[in-house]
Parts: sequence; C-alpha cells; structure tokens
Amino acid sequence: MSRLRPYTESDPSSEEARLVRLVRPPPPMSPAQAARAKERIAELARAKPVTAKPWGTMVAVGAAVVVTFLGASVTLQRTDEASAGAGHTETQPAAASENDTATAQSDEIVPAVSVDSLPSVNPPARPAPKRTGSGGAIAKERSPEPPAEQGDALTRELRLVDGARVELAARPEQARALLLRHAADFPSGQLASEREVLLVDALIRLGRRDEAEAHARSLVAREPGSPYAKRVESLLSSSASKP
Amino acid sequence: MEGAPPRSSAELDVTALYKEHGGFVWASLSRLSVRDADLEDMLQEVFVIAHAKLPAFRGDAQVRTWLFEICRRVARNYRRKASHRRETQPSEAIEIESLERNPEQALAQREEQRRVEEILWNMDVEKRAIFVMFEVEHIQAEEIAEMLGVPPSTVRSRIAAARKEFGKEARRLRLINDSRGNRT
Repeated sequence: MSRLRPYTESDPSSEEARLVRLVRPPPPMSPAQAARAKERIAELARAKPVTAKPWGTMVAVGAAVVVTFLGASVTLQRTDEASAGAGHTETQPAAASENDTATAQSDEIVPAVSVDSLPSVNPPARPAPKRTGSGGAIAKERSPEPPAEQGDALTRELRLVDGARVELAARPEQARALLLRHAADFPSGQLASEREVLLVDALIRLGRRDEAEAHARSLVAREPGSPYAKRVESLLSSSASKP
Repeated sequence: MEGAPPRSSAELDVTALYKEHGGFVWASLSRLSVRDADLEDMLQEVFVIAHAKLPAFRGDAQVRTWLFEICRRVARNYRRKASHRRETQPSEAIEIESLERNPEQALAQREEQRRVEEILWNMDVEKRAIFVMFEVEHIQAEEIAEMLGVPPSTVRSRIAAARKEFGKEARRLRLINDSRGNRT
C-alpha cells in the first residue's frame, strides 16, 4: 500500500490542506496548569482506590455510569441504584448508606460526572494536610479502611464540586447552587478550597464581582500562596482586564 | 513503560501514571474535542477515573491505550454536555492580535476557522482525534494505531472516513468551492 500522507504534504495547495491549516494542534500545558494538575493528582493519590475488581464488573458499572453521563437530568438515585446493583458490593459495606445519600439529594437534579464512575473511592484516613506534589509520593498510603460514612461524604463532595465544574461555563447559576450546597453540607470539607475557587469563578461569570472578591479574599487569607489562592487571584485579575 | 506493562496495580499508581502519561492524556483530550478552557478539568476527570480503575487494570492493554479509552469516554460525555454551549464558546485568544493587523481578513479567516471547528466538533470524537493526529499533527498511521491499540489498517480506514466527512461538510458549509480559488 502506498504511504498515506496528510493533505498538507500530499497536496499542499488543495482546499483541504488550507482548511486543515486552520486547525490548531493541542495546546501545550502551561506551567501553571501543570503545577495545578500535579497538585490535584497528588491529592487524588492519597485517596486509596478499592481492591481489584474484574473488568467485567467495571464495565457493568461503567455502563450504568454512561447512562448517567448521557443526561444530566437523570437523578442520582437512579445512578446509585444502578451502580450498587451492578456489582458494587464486594468491597463496599457502604452501599446502603450511599442510597441514603442519593435520597437526600434526589430532590434536586445534580449532574453527576466522574464520581459515578468511582462509586467506591475512599478518602484518606484523615484529612490530609496540603502539600505540594512530588515525584517521591509514588508509594501509596496503605491506610486502614475508613468508616463508610467518610467514603460517602467524599463521594458526595465530589459529586457537588465536579457537578459544579461541569456546569460552570454554560450554567454558572446552577454551578453556584451546587457549590452553595456543598458549602452548607461540608463547610470545611476536603474539597472546600476547590469549592471556593469554583465559586469565585461562578460569581465572576454571574457578574457578582463583590461577592467573588469577598470569597477570594477569605481564601487567600486562609491559604496564602497556595495554588488555590493563586488561582482565584488570576481569575480576578483576568476578569478585571475585560471591559 | 509501554514496553513492559505492569502486572499489578502495585507497580503503578496515579502519580506515576500522571508523570508518565499526563502529557499524552492532555493532548488526547484536546484531540478528542475538549476545548482548551476545559482541558484542565477533564484531565483531572480522566485521572480520577483511572485512579478508581487502576486496581482492575492488569496490563492486558498498553497503558496509553487504556488511558485513551478513558479519555474517549470522558470526551464523549463532555461533548454531550457541552453541545448546547457550542455557539457561545469561541476560542478568542488567538485573534486579537491579527484583528489589529488586518481586521477584514482576520474576521473572514476567523469565520472560516469557526466553521472548520464546527465540522470537527460534529465528528465522532475518535474519528476527530485520528483526523487531528494525522492531518494536523502529522503523526503516522502506524504510530496512531499503536496508541489506540488497533491495527494500522483500521486507522487508515478511519482517516479515509474522516476525510470524506470533512470534505463533504466543508462543501456543504461552502468552505470548499469546487470551482476552487475563491480564497487564497
């Protein structure tokens, strides 16, 4: 077979080649983005994953998850039932209480994202202090199984915060509602800082700058120099430069 | 790491995974249609899922293939959710400078670019990724095949399908006039 070559090489003067040149390749990760990602991954690494499940089970859970993925209108309760039914039992004594969680939230449509694909993720045994990620953090913490409620709490936290993240650009009002709910339920939860950053972002998008600044100030005061503080500062300064 | 897939999750954790493949995941998400502004969050999303699924990953597939599969699911979901805001999210960053230099041409080009993006947006995410890798980034079909864990012949046929769709849509949107030479 003759070698297949891209339009811009095989026929550089073609209309196709001209159009293809308008497409931008993936952007590089900025140093700030890389730093934040590293930090967030390190945080993630401290949440111990469950013991191995066979792929088939994961696929089944995944399928249930995908259903939720499709429509933000699917309520959480259904998801949790689906994933609990799909083999979420062998390592999780918490399946029942997760349904409680769902019931508590079923009065509101909450867009569920990543968290549904990890129904069994566990939080660190204790709230881990913030630390910068480093290459040396590869060894996993082997903490004893945390109490079930704790796992559910983080699951709920993730659900609210990740849901807000997804809504942020298109429906900042909805994002704000989720974040306020998180603030009410988990005032100093494990994702509190993340929440405040997203809240600042949502408030800016909603044109509620004074509130955004107030939240930003208290976050910066609480964690000066942290990635979160830097993020809200850059959010505020970049939005200030726009008319 | 690709050469010798880990046999158990004990050899691999999400930090190591990110260190080795973070850049690949980032680029993959972009190729799969995640917008620049959302890449950071979707990257996190992928690693949250990878972290949860890691214990089940036994190295049956190459790590990158496995991660790409997660990226693909995340991107599909993302695109569904984002589709209603497609019109409101132009990528503005690039044009301010060129607008000042030659406003008319820049606007025309921007409009053209917007339509090209729309064509790509409407493609199946995997088809789009293959198209971008091959046509824009000039990654060879064999290399793409290895990344995706499919035979090179499959990649070639997907490139062909993507080209066909691209050409068809470009004509429909009058980005390509068959008479040619309408724009330079």
